[in-house]
Amino acid sequence: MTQRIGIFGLSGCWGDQLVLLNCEDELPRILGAARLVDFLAASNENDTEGPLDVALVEGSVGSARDEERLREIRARTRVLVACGTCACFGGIAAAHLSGPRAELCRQVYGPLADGYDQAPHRPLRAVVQVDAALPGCPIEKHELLAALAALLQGTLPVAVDHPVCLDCRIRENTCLLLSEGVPCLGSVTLGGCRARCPSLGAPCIGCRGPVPEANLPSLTAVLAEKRVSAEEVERRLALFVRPHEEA
Amino acid sequence: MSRTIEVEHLGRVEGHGAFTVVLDGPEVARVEFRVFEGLRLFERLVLGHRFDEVPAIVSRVCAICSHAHAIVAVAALEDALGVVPTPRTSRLRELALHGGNIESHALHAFALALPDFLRLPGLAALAREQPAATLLGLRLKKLGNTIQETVGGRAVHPVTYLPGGFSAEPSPEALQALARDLTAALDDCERAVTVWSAVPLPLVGRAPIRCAALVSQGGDFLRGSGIRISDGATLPVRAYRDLAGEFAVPHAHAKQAAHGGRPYMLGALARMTVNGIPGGRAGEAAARLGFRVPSQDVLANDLAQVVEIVRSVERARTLVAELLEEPAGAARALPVQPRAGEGIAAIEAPRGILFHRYVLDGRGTVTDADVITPTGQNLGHAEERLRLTAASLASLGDADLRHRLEVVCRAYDPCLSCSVHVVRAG
Repeated sequence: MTQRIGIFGLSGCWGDQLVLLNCEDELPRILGAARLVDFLAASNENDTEGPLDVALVEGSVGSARDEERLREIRARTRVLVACGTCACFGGIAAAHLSGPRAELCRQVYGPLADGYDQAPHRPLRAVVQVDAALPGCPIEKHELLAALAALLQGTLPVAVDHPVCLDCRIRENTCLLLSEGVPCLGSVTLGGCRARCPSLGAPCIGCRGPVPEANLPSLTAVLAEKRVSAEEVERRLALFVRPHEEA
Repeated sequence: MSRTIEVEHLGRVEGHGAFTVVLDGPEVARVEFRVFEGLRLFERLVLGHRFDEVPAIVSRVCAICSHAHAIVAVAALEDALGVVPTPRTSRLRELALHGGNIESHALHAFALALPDFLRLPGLAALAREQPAATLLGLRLKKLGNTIQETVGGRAVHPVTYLPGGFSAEPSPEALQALARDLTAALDDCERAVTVWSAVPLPLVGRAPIRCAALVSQGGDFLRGSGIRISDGATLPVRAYRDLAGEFAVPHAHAKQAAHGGRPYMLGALARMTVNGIPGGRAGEAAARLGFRVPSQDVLANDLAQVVEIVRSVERARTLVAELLEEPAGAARALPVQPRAGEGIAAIEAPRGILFHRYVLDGRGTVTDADVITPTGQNLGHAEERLRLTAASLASLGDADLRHRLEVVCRAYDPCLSCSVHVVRAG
């Protein structure tokens, strides 16, 4: 039986939904193989209340409205998949700020800010049970397609648990960290991206979130030997790998 | 008698928006275009980060225009650091901008806007009823993504942009593949014009449209040397705040821009209104589409996007040929000496002028940042045009009027995640 799929975005950049739309070669088949019954980004007529087999949700929970929508989605779907680093870990919107949040909002929007519905950004799992997680900022096309294939067969996608270093090794890259002292976060970041950034001469910034059992003290020590300050390491980690979690 | 026309969650746009129009008989009593994204506070996120970390952070403002944000960011940072990019770097960045323009316009024209004009709910229905047009739109979209991947390393949230150049250049093989793809795309450009020349556009409110765009010359139409408004006023990019003097509104998590208290429109229609319709294939496309400037119809922006797809394909072909003719290597970023300074830059993102400003301290760390997006600037004009449309079509039934108002919203191709951002008031 064809699976009923819903695709949603909370607070985010739309990147993970765009990755789906960027599967230009596969999209016609996907549209034929599944029923996208609730996909506001691509349709003006959606079944917003009926049951779903799979809900793909991108973006972090950054407002009361986001939280309410997420709870509604959880209640009507059999499987909930967090898509992208914002949904999985909070993402860049959960990065550390230079001051208290309310104060920064007021600086910008003036007193009107106090009336806006907004809150520190949290991952989906802070609010509801999540059944599967696709990391990435954005998610990888090949992981999305493999996940869709699994979900359409009624199973869950396989989770990645190795660091970016393994991807770099497979591509036989020279290690930017060890040979050039570049502050690359690959050793503490989830792989599966085929080490795209180091392969293009750019250090990993940790956008796929933390690898399980990430050894942050070890990374900090190695970078200290390469004369990268602890302050810089903290700053880089604070973007995606170690998001700010307000109580 | 009072009527309320409301869409609580706008479909087929990027991001989260809604509108309410209240009519009192034939008069419009209230119009609100609401943006309700959670605030992600990007201009505060970059504070304390070093200049080379900025492009990857600010590209995350938005997925569709992630290259535009990264490219204008490096330009603004170079302005602050006193770095002048090489001609090869400049060409590669311009090529990526055209890739983004092609991708964004193809997505909007075919997947987001076209269903309205064919009375279809969305992409899945379009794929069933109009498979050829759907595949055409997807091919053009893919071309735009391939260009962006080749230059920036990834279509969404690029990797290679740095102040001073690139962390890695595309290989000659990759550029040759682009040259072939772009030549093959010329037929698809013709097909796109054929499809759109037969699309019936519904009637919406009409009145002169005040446009703003970067002053550009020749084929490099996504960058420019200053700002011009269609009423003749010009101002330098450094004075961007005089144009986009923003004010927060209670009903939107976005700030509206209103130069001199009067809203203005940005984007493809605005670019050609200010700088003229080009010649070549793009000019022929405009003629076949019946696209003329100035226009009083915001829906002309949809046609303008189709003209620009053709124009960006033409320009990208020229750029790739130039890149293949010269030796590679001049675009590799060299180490940049940090210094204190302020930098401002602007480019034409697909939806209009995008401004970035950064202030750096002596270590090259960001101490202040400003991002003004085109959609944030368009919101005021969109509200005004909703008011005009509701007033002029008040005799329509609720469902028809609501659809007509949605079509007006979509004509701006709003990128609502972008429009919510932190800009220091005053």
